[in-house]
Amino acid sequence: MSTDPAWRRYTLFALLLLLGLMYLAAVNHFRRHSRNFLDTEAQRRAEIAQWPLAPRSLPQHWVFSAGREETRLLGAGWWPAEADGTNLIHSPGHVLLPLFLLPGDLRLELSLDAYRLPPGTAISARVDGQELARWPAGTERRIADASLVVPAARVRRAPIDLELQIVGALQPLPYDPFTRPQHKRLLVLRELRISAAAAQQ
Amino acid sequence: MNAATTGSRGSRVLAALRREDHPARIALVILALYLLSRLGLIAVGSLTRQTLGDGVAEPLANLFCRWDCDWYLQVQRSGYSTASLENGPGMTNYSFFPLLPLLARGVGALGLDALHALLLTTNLCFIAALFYVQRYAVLVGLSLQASLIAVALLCFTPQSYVFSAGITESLFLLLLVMAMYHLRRRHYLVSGLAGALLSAARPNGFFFLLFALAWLVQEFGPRVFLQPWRRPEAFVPVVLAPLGLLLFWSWCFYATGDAFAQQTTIRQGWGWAADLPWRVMANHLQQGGPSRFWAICSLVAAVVSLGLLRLRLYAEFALCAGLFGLFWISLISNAMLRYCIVLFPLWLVLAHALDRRPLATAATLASFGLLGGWLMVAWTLGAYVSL
Repeated sequence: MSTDPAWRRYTLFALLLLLGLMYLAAVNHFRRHSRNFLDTEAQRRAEIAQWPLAPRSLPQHWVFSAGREETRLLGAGWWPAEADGTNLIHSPGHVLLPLFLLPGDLRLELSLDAYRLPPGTAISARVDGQELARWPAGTERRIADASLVVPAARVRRAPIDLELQIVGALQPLPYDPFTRPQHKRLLVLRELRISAAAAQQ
Repeated sequence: MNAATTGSRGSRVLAALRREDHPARIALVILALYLLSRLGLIAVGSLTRQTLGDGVAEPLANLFCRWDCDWYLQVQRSGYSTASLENGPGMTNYSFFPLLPLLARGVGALGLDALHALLLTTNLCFIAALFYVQRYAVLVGLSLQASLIAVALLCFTPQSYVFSAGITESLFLLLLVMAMYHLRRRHYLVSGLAGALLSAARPNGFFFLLFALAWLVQEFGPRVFLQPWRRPEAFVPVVLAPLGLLLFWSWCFYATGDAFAQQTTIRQGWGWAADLPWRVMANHLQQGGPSRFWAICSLVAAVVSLGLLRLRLYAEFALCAGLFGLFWISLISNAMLRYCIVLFPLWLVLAHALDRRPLATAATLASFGLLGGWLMVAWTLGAYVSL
């Protein structure tokens, strides 16, 4: 036992305990309130870009390859666009659809490639947190019939924030310095067609 | 009269310096090893640039600024920024801990430019670390000769250029050995402060906790954890050690809204990910090239660390084992060698084995010199294996 007087030992112990509790409180606060700063930045950039890119009419055909204006509407989760599309680097990926005057229900048709998604995984499409479609990853590279209808009644705010999320367990992939980060090339968004759902029927 | 006094004082100093254990003599040996090793590295680097490089002249200081050095310079010059590299989305300087750039900025107040201030900081840290390692070796029972061999091994180890480069290895080494040395001497507050600085220097600085906890068990038995109020001073290093990390997290939260900005950027920008260690190591060994080289180096270092058990340095072993575990879960293999060489207890094992074996010592240092020369060439040319 320490030879210090009891009051000194207990004071020091109380101080150390207090410091330890402060750590725990701080970590708890950080865990609850921290937001991925890179995602926040990407989302903010997309929100700034949406105004000049808002379409005046439908249908629209957007191509997400390097050099295209519409790639600026990609928010959190995406790697910068390349010649053949835009890679999802972490799930979910956000696409802003600046459709301020909705003509009614919308039909979205996506061109998605899933290169390395393992069997059992799927891609979920959500708007305002509600899942509107789910496409299982198959053996083919291209996700078949990746389309969904966004009911106007479901859209609570503009722009529409379309979330694409990989559902299911992903094994970590071997590190590859040429295609980092890890999940690059799991899912590639190439094109998006937007039309009024009524016009399709 | 004066001449006679001066003469006798001079002869006393010389007589003292002839004593092997005189502190001044030990200091001279350490400084000589430092200088000799740095001159060797500068010679290899300069010759490489002149004969194998692209022929573009660059200042000597630039030789010690490769890879992450530019990031630290950026933080030192203009602070943290959320801006990503143009050709590296998600790569931001939040990946780099603040203590080294803060210290270098302080040294820069002497009138040096940013790069020279950074290099002066790291070299001063390395020199101080060498002194501490020598004293630590003696403290844990190695002979004077072995303690100096440990210093020589650190100076000449392959990749020892990282200790003079604008990256955190020398600062990490200094703070680690300081925290451990003062804990063993029961200077709890100094040890705790060094531990706190350590966790503000590099993410794995936090692992000093493993040493501190293991040392507490070794010294006072497991009961110390059941009644910590009986010996609270021994817990000062344990409680202070995470302080630097918490302060950095607080800063990140204030500046970006993301306390874990460092983890965010290394995950998204550098592609850091974790997996089970045996799968990671199997993957590195299969990949070949630098990955295999780094993996083998870390495995050799892990085998050497088993010698700590033989020396009954259990707390040091706990530290090394924890850090090897951390290295081996990372899918990124690079820098594994330089992460290992800062684990100075490994050099104590080797130095103990080489004690009173001059031929083996010479052969080891010569081998290190050859490998170190090859890596210095790679470093000078910016080859990936030197990272």
